Amino acid sequence: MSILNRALRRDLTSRAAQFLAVGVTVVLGVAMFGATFDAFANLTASYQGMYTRYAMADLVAVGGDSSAIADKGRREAGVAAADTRSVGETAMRVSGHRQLARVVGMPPNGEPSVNKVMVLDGSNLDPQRRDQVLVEQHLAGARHLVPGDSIDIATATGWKSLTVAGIVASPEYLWPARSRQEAIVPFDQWGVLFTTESIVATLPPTQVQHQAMFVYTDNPPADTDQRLHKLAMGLGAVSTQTLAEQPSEATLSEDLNGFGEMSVAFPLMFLVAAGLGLAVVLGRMIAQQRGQIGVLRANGFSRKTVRRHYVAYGLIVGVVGSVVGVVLGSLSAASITRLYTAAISVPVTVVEVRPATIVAGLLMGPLAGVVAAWFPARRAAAVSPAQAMRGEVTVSVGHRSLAERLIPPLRRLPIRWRSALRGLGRSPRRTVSTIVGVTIATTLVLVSWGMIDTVQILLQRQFVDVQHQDAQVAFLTPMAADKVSSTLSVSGVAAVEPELDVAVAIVNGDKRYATSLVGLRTDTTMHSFITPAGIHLTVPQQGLLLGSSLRSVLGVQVGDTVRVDAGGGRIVSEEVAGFVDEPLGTFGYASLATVAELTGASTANPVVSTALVRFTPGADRTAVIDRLSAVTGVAAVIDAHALYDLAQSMMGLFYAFVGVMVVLGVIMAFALIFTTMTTNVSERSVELAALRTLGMPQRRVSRLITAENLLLVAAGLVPGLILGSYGAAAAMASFSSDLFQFNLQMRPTTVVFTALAILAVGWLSQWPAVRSIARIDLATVVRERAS
Amino acid sequence: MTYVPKHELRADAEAGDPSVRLSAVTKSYQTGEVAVLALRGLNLTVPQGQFVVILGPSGSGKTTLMNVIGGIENPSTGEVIVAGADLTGSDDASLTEYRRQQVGFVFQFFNLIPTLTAFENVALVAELVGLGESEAQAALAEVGLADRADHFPSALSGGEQQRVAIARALVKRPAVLLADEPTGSLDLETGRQVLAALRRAADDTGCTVLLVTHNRAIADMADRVLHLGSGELEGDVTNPHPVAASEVSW
Repeated sequence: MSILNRALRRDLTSRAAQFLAVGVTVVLGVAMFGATFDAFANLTASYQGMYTRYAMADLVAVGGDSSAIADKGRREAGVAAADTRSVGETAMRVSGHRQLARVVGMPPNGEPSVNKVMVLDGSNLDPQRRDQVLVEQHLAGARHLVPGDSIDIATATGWKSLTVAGIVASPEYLWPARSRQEAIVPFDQWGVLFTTESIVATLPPTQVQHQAMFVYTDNPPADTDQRLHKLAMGLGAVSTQTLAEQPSEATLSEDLNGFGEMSVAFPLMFLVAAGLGLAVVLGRMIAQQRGQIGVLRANGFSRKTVRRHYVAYGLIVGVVGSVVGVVLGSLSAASITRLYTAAISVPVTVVEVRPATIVAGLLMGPLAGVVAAWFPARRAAAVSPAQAMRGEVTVSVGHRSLAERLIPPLRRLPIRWRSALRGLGRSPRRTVSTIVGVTIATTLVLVSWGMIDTVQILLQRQFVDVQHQDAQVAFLTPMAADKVSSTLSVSGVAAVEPELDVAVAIVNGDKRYATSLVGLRTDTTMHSFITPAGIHLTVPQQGLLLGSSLRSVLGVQVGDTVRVDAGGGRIVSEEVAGFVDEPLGTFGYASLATVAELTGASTANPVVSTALVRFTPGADRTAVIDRLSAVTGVAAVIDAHALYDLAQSMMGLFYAFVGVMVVLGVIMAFALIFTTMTTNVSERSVELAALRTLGMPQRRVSRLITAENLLLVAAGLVPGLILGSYGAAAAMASFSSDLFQFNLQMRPTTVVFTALAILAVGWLSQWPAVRSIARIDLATVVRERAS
Repeated sequence: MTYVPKHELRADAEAGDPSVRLSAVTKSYQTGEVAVLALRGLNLTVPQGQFVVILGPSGSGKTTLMNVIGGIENPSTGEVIVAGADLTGSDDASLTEYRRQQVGFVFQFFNLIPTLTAFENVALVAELVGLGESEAQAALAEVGLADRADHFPSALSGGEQQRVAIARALVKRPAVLLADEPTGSLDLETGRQVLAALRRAADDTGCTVLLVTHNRAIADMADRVLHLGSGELEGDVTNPHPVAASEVSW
């Protein structure tokens, strides 16, 4: 080992705590990259594996002549397979519990060529039997169903009993979303069954859709979606959905995209923080070693050698941090992937070691280290040998602080406070590093916390401010609107309103959006219609209220006319009466009469298949639901609070996520502030010793430094809170679509608590430095006349 | 430790009590793996108001002696009484209080706070002992820097910075002023200005000045010259005719 390298090793050892702090930040950055990037890739591969193996449809056409669409589509370029099926919506009954179900038709041999199922338990449908059903795994889990169990489904002629042949997973229900509008549905309120086409045919025809499905070849022509869409619409389809538009894939993609974005943004934050910390430590080290550098240069060491020597510190910290980070990242990626696929019950889990991720991770740390070390190293190489050996030290230039210049009365503060204020401007590099570090940490915490606030506030808005029903009641057979109130008049029910829900496509020119058009009374008390500006609307006699995302999706404004296509040639034109801001889903709303006209039913007293019910305040919810379920003609009662409760319980995952982010933010802030503060005290040891020698008590010196440090943290808080708010808004916007509308909502207390938390971290992380003041040996400082 | 109020100290001085009294003081400490005996049974008495120059080669114990008198270090053995206060065995808080009230320090490299102006550097210490800004202004005026009060250290020459340091040391009217190589980093002319300021401090305020230096020429302006060697007092010479600072030359 060369002598210079020995010096390097000893320098690393003598500043072990500071280099360790920087190294830990590199480790976190690289590990976060490896974990999130590989988790993203693993999950994508897991979903794709399932899609490929079980022939997930690349396009589904709803309505029209599905056989003709499939036959003609099969001959299109890029299409590998095509199939048709019927899908019905009905009620089901298991051990007395009623809920809604989607019944998906399967061919007689039980094996479709598109959207196959994976049998997890039991067996596939027996082609010889006409009384079997396959249960999608999430429903089976919620209702504890196993092969051999019996369930009933509501048909046009009454309840029909079926035997569970198997429990299955389906590529199109990896996440069992009912529709794009209802992406999250409690599994014990709605589920998916697979059975023979002959049984689907027994459901009420109005509740059955016919679909044509297509699987593409490996490299289909780019216009395959458009060609098939045109073909299907020409044969009477109401809408088509590409793979990306299908509810399960769309919901899972929202999450995956979050991983994808995290794998870049968050590691970058940590590596920037590590770089800043490294630059501060090296800057101080080089200032202290000016004499040594002078000796080296005077003895013939080239600038390049000196530069290389100091860059090596960054390289070593970066390499060590990267190696540890890559190992931790790979392990975390595998764990995250398995946890995630287990949490949503994805039966295929792909965990791979990706050389590209490892190489990228191994390069990140050294790159950050070398870039951060380059500038101090360049300054070291520029040191004049003569000047360095004379021991001349650049005197800090004093000046009044910006705050004093802007607010002159501050000049009358006690001198120790003025000193603290001016301390901020002493070392601009260190000050900027600390502020940037605090800004990054604050952003990290605020983004995470802002997401929690947004979800909590918007769930509250959806389930308290917008929806006012306690339950939705589905009827076995449609019922006249004026009969629902008396039919459902049981103890504990305060109000009942009819609801008419129709699957439609809303069309503006060549833009179509498939959704549900919900018909309600114009004086409904079950739903509030709130515009993005906060104005309350009522259901118009004529015209539609649309979810606000349709403004851009369809390119329409209030007053424009759109076409509403309910399939089967039933198309009406309606004016857009307003847009409503609702966090979950994108629906259309109209009066009962408007929707009835679309279905061809009587507009004066339309028949409806569902009703909304509000309970008497304080009523026993379970008992009321039981009473409603027992009413003749009722197929199922859906507890409106179940989704709210499910969402609230899912917040536990968010809390865990935020907890991890806050811990990481705290570690990063701690590492960087610790580094800059210890450097600050180290630089000023003589000055602080002089103050102690002059009789300033150690506690007062500590308070002086603490005040200065906390002022610095506070200075970083301001941009941190601003950037954090923007970051949180951007993060929420990335999750927003027609499925969820997440506009950032942040409680003022969140901002206050974030600021306090960061200040507390600042106070804690500067504590070792402040404690070191007590250890300054006055005698040594005076004796050695250090400068 | 018992503190003697300054007005009483003056009264004691008139009664002829010494300002500094060391009895059989030893001080040993570790430097790396080497044990150093810096002071070996030193006995010393310095009356109030005396200007004492301490000479000696490197490692003779000059700075250690200053540290012991200044309450920066405790002696290993022996007794130290300064301005009526017995420092022997005092804890850190008591020594801090002692330094705050009774001792002024002037360092070779000034050790001013770069972010405070000349006035603020002096006023910081004034604030510490409960004095006002007027005393800080007066102290600066005493060293001839009233017109440089608003300048930051980086805008002052070395001599000016050292005079600010003297004003900072004098503002609290210490019983003892300890100066460790105060001219060590100054040229002759500015060194003379600094020495003149120290001499005035002793003459005008009655404080005892102990000045450590390698520079033998400075001994000419002292009331008394102590020679230290290997931690022992090797010479103690009274100078009946101290010269003015302006006449010192090196």
